[in-house]
Amino acid sequence: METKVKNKCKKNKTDRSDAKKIIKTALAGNPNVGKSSLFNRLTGLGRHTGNWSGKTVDLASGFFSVSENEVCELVDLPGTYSLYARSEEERVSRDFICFSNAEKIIVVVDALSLERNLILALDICEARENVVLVLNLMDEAGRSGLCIDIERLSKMLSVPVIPASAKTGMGLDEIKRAIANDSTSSASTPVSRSVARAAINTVCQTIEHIGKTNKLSAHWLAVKFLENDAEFVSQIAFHLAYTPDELLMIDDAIGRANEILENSGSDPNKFSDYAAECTLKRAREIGDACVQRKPKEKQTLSEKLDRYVLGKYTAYPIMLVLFAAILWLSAIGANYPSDLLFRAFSFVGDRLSYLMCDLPELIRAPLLDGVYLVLTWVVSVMLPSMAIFFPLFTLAEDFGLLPRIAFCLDEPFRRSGSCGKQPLAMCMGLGCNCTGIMGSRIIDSDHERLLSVLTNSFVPCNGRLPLLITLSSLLFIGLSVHLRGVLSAIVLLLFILLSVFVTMILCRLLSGTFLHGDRSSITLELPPYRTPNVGQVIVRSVLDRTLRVLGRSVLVAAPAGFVIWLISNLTFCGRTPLSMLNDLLDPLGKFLGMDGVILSAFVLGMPANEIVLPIILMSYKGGGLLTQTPSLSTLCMVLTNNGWTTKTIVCTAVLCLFHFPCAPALLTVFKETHSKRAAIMSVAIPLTVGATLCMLLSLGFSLFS
Amino acid sequence: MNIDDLDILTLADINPGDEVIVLKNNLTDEMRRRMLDLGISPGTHVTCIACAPCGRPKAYAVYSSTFAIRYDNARKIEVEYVSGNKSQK
Repeated sequence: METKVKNKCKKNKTDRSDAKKIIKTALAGNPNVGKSSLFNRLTGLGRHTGNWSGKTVDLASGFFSVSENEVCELVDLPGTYSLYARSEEERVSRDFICFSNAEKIIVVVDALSLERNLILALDICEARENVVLVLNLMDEAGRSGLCIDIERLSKMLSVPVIPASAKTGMGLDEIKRAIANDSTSSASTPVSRSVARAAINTVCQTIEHIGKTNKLSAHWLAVKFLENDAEFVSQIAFHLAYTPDELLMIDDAIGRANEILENSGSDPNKFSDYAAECTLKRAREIGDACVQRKPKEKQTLSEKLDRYVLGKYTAYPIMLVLFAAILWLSAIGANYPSDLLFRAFSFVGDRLSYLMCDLPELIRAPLLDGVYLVLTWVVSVMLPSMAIFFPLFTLAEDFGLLPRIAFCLDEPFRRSGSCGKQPLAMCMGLGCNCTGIMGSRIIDSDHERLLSVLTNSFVPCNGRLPLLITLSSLLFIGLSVHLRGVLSAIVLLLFILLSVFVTMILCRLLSGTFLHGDRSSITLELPPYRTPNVGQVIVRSVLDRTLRVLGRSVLVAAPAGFVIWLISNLTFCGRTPLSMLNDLLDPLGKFLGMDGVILSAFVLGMPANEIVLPIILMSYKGGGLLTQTPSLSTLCMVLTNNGWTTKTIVCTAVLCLFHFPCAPALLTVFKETHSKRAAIMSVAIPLTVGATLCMLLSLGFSLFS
Repeated sequence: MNIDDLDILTLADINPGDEVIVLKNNLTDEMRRRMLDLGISPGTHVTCIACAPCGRPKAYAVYSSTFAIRYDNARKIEVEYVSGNKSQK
């Protein structure tokens, strides 16, 4: 029934919007209070929710019906700690709360941490009319022996208060009823700011006289004018459409108010602090009056877990084991479904070639051996590892592990000029650099985010990991299978550590030279561990991340397949363009410890790094068809016959780690930074590092041999 | 006057398990306001919850929420031990 109504609303949103009244409502609150879960519960959109402070960057909205002829459009705002906004997300939230045409604001607060949440809630209640307070996580609060006097809280705040739980569904109907209730409630009585009362009243009178306050309270506006936050004041002037004359009147009033403040012995410059302290004091008073806590008897499970996860000797080993497990699963474990996909695709490919046998060879070959082959190649390598990696990563995120990893790694990364959230973006980069680059959004400070975006391609994504694994096994080809497995795993880990090490050094260098700026404030919240909703995580991470990343790669891989077929099959004067390119790059390749074939494979593999090794093999064999990697011994023979030595293997591995980002990643850098300069740097930096390292390695090898 | 030179107890000095009351917030501008928004102002009870493996940063419980605050910021917040707390420096 419920879903039916919802679908109907969606369908009829455009053509029958006059029949149903739409009530625009926003969901505001601190980070980590379960806003997004509540949003999902109410709208049924099932949008992904993360246990990570400030993860919601884009505004999500959904519809649901609240009464027979009313529909609510709910907007999920980014979490903020107060209306004092500094980051882009906070500004979005603040401006939406203050200036949007939203009829109601639902402020979601964490019942377990009422006092701190009230700081924001009090500010919003004081600022505008039609605010509803929702006490989320009431089930957890009940379990931990917390008792909240709802009626008293409602009276003290003078707004409706609804106890709720997104997990159990408690209070959802009351929320809908509160939204449907069309009686207007005014902004709540302002927090007492006794010292500054006269000063605030002076400004308040002028604002009331001008009259353009929309949904906002004149008293609250007066406080904001006196806080003298230039950016916000200009926003207020813009949205409330104050004329220059009116602004002059307000300025005049502010001048008088500041005089009053000075005469009473307080510093007008400290008014902002004073106002915030008054709000905090009031939050404490309300907390003391309405909350009864039972003294805690024993440690919660969350605290016990933290003893190990954050423990001095256990933290890094635990992280390393988890990291290795995720890496193993997405790199090795994914081979089996990969093989299956390969076989399925080649079966379909055979059928297709049978069906298309009537077509002329010149059309059939590029389509099948070019586009289809590369496309299916990319899909069968990428899809399984991503379908494993992303859900696992999202589970760790929802469980609450990621902020803790950021906490443990903050110091080493702080020293290299970045912050603890960068390794998280790097971990995402292991799945796919595009996601890693987008994931850098979790970093607050602009320049630290840019560092993370520029250096993300140093982390080998799962398109490059198979090549690295093959290369590390080739190093130990003469040994027994088990010994080879262990040694090559160690070498692989060393390669990854090298990439982390180089990332840190470069961050240090870049932040010391032309990328210096504000340090992020890292007031990182460590929320309690929460059981993730496994079903939802798997559906969302497959839909949101895996398919999106895959779609982007497919778009690039298809034309690339065509181009690769063309240059490896067309002949000019008896030679293919590919072999010409190989010869052209050969001197440079030799200088860097490799050969031209390897370099041109990296160039041609730019759309998708998965096909680098197949291109190398195709060049050596001289055919015009990409071939699957043969068994290790055959591969070794082919490569040795073409002059590969240990030097070649090591240099290729290093170049695999440090070359330019793949085409989709490059596009993502540009989209995230909106800067051509950043995109160019993201190519130039790794290329320089890779070339330098390869040159040094090649020199070193020739010295020793 | 440089507060580093004086032997003043700050948030950065306390260890996991210690409970303190905030005396003074010596941060300026934005960070000062950030701390206020988290509820950290004179009179607030703060408990150190954990310490990252390399010693910094530390995590503090403020009004039943846990926050990591970087060393540079934590050492600008003067505190005193809640009376009866055993682990004096």
